[in-house]
Amino acid sequence: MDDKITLTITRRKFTEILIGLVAVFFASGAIATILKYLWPESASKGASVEVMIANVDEVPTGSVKKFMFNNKAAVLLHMPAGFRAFGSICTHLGCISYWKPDENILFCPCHLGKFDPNTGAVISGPPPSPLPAIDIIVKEGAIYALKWKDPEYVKTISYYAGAA
Amino acid sequence: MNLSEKLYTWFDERLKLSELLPPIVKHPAPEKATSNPLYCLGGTAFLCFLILVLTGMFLAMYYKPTPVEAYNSVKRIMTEVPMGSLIRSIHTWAANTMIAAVMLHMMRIYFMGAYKKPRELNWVVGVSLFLITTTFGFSGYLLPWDQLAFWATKIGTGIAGSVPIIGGYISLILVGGTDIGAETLTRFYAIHVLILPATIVVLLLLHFIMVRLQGISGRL
Repeated sequence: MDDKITLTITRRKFTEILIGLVAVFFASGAIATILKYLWPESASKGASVEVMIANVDEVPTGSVKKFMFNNKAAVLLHMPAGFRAFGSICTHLGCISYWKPDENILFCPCHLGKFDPNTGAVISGPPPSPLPAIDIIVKEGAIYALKWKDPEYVKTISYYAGAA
Repeated sequence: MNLSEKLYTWFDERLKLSELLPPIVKHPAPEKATSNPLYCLGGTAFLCFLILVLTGMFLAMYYKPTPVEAYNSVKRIMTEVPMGSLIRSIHTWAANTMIAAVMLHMMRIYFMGAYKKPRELNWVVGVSLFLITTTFGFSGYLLPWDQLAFWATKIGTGIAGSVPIIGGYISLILVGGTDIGAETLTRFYAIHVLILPATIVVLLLLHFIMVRLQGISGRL
């Protein structure tokens, strides 16, 4: 028995392969078009933009206001020490943490993560890293969110993908 | 000649029924397959599929795939639309039963060794059908747009995103952005009611043709 595999290339075979390659070329064009169509627009978004969060008198000391920053849930807190803003997506598994006034913490209900409302630092629970702070500015009686305090840090948290 | 015979003759003269139908319809299943309920699991899954298609068509008439309306339209189906809760409950239960039937069917095939030559290709098609069925379940789970749906999708797309190298792109295309929102809802709706049904019909056809060509395997 002859086990050798022989490959004979004729001119006809060669031409057929060439035509096949042309077909693949056109097909890949169609697939690229479909992928381009499916590709979300927001994925190619640029740097963060300034957004107005609230008027100062809307948020008296000890109260909070939820807002969206770069398409991520965020929270503005009026602490006795002044205004603070953080991304409110918990760094543990991506649930939304909220202000819990009786304990003076930002609280994630999923696995009982607790954050310091002044710095965003982890007080207790499973979150591996602090909530990212947002730079804010108060002008003409309104509070504006400017940018992430540390965009490089935000890029390292998977739940904030596309936000920095 | 009574009416039904007349009708049959009328169609027979035009569509050659007496020539084409018998080899398709008059095909008795082997005794071993009709006597054992384990051989009914695939048929059960297919029956569930037919029920899902029917109830799904009716649900689609009231359901609205936008973040503002999705939850309320489901609520309306459940509380206001006459028989709405029945239709949706049948859809839910048939979906769960289909997953169970498909898995049991797969186990039957595996433990009876029915995937062996010459039925390997039908096993491959069957595994694809299993994956499509679970994807059906996953995409349908988001549509009520409640907390359960949202977080299940968050975790599911997160798992897709954890695939090495291409995972990030897969989850981006699946979610339609970096966050679950309006884009995700319409994408999952399109997947659930258009893309998956078209795919599963083709695969089911292949599956059934191969069952007929290869026959039902004997027990080990």
